[in-house]
Amino acid sequence: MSLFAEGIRSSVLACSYSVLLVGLALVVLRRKDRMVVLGMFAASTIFSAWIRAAGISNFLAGRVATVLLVIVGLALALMVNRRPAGLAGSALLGTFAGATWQPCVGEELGGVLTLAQDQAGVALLLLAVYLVGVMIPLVAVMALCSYVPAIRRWMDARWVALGAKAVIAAMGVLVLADQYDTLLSTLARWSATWSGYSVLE
Amino acid sequence: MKMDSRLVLLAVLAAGVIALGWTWLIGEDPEEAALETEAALETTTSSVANTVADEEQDAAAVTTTTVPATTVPTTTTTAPTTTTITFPTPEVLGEVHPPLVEIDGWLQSQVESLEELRGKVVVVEFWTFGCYNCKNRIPYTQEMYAKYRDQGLEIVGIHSPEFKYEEDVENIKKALVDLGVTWPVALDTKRRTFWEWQAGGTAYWPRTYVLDREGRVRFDHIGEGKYRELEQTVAFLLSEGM
Repeated sequence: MSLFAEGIRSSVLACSYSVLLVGLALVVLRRKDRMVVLGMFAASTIFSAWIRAAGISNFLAGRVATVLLVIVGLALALMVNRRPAGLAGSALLGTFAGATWQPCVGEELGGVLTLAQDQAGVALLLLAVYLVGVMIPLVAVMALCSYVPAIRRWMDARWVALGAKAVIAAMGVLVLADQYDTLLSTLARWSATWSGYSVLE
Repeated sequence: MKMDSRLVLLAVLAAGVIALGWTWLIGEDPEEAALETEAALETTTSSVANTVADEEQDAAAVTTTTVPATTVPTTTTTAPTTTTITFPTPEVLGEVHPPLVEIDGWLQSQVESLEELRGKVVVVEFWTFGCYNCKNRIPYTQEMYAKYRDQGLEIVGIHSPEFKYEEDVENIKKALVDLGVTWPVALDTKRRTFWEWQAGGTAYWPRTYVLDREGRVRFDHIGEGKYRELEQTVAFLLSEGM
């Protein structure tokens, strides 16, 4: 229970943005089957994060990382003008999100990550619980779209879609230019300032 | 959206609310846990003292101690006169600690390598000042430093930035003052040491290691927490050389 709660708490911290930004892009732009797409995104995020945590593979190493970055950059860029990602696209973006995720390692997650090195199977389940907690804001956005017609209309408004597409296009360009870290860095500093966690002025 | 999807959504959100409520209302408060650790260590000390006193006073009496089982593993003998309390010997996790690689400089330090600290018990902590969980560890580290520094403990913070703004030395210096970090800090700007010590794609902030007086790795923990085990390890290793 506390592992799940720790995941929810960390969803407001900068360390979760790499997962939430991509997930939010999927949820906002996808008008149908949002739940299925988000489910696939979550599953692939969990899986790739687990592969890293268990030390099975490091997606961020060498050529694999470069290829993945380019593919994801193209996928994000394509989402601007075409139908937003389907199941395969969600899986790809989830893999990217899990691979680039640098978690906030609290007390509970610390235990899971330590465990992952010896008992990978158990760690997979625990990591899933934690990451579902991290993705609660996405679930909340989906629920709002589903239950509140005014919000659904607002989300479907043309200017919101345009705004979301602009953000996604920028993300795609940054990923392709290998500057995605700059975006996360800026968001991290911004969030640290407003949340009172920053020690800098 | 179908009804069953809505139910799943609701269930996940409800679980989230319950989980948050559970941990906030019933969960362990880190400060309280630290106080418990303190109390437990004091209990251990007093229990040992009591045992000695009992041995001296009444050789035939059976001594009972009340050390919390979850705090300090104990070995209670059934011999009529003694109750011995032993700390678990920290396992040797590595005969030689990994090297510091391409360190860009040191702050607040009179040494420039871990080798110069042989003979001391050294806590090596990978952190970065913008990391929320790293900052949460600092009060406990400060307390431990104040308590054991005179007994031979040294702490080395290896500052491995996650983001660009954490690479700026002036920002780091300001953070050290603001956060109250008084121990030596090695600057690992390109994260070479960070990856050297945490090879295999499992690198995280914060990560804490303890080296014994011979430089062997005796403790390894990812993230916050395990303050009790950390302090026990440090206390044990310090007592080893006495």
